[in-house]
Amino acid sequence: MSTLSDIEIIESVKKGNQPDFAVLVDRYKNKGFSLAVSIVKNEMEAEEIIQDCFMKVYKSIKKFRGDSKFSTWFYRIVYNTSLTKIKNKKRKIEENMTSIDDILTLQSENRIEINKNDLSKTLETIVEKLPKNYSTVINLFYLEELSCEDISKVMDISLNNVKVMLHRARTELRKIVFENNYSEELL
Amino acid sequence: MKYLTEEILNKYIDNELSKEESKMVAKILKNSYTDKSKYLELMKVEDGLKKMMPKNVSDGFTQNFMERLRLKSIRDKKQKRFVIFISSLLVTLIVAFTGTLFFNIFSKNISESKDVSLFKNISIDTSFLTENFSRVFSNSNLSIIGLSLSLVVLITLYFLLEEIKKTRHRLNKIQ
Repeated sequence: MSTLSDIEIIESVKKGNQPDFAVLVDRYKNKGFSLAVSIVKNEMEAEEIIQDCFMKVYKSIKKFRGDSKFSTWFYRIVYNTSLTKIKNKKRKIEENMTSIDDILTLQSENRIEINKNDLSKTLETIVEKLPKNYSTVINLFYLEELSCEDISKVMDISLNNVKVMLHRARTELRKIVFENNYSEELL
Repeated sequence: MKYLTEEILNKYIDNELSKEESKMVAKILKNSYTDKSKYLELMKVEDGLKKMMPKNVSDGFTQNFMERLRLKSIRDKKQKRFVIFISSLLVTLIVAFTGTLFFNIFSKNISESKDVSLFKNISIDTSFLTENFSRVFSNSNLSIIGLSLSLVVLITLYFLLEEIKKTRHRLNKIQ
């Protein structure tokens, strides 16, 4: 079953094979969770969001005609649900963080736990603390392996905006990691 | 000396520059130590980002979710059945009431008329219709009808709410 494509699984679920939905859940739970965490910055809330998202997917699976990739559709649901969650809770933390410069302040206060021997772990920690737009783009591009076009569909922004955000995020990550000597894997 | 901007370096990494531009950047990178180290740092970040692993949800997430989904499906089915039951009950009551009413009209007309032709007897006797309606919905009958209907609805609602409570309890246990 796990070798089946998303579309084949969806067709099976549409025919009434509810247990097959577990394969889709297993396939996308961690990636969806990472995306939700990057937006709401809270693991417990992110897990609730993912449960709601899978429930939404199941309810509207009959409407899915396969015009776009299932992953794009699913991440769009996760992205919108996470934004709604933030809006509902009136959490203004992200809005107050107007620039990535705030992150520099954060790390200067030693609030980021850094694993100096593992650059990817260090980056995971820093990315999580980035403003939600940047961390979402990074997550969708590197973890979910979506193309810039798909990211623009998920986030409902222009392709150019996606590229600009990706470049800025990467540049700022470079500054944070290397200018503050967070990585000992030096050149 | 003018250094390469971060934007150009990012575009160079993403292969978004033209052939000529890429050649120029490569040439600058060969000769400029500052640009080269910036470029290598960016590449390190790029590699690190590619190696990032997604976060894991709690253990048993799929099992819990599927159990939640199963219970929800059962609850939805029960609610659907309840709606169908109530609607069919109301339809039956309306049909029964209308049937009784027409039966009374026909039987009275037939007994009063010597002509056996049925359609001739269906002359809408509005006074009789009003009489029947007022008899069925007289004060005493109305309260009996209302009482029976409320009783049926209350009993059904009680069972439905009990079921919802049980399902919620089970869902909470899972969560």
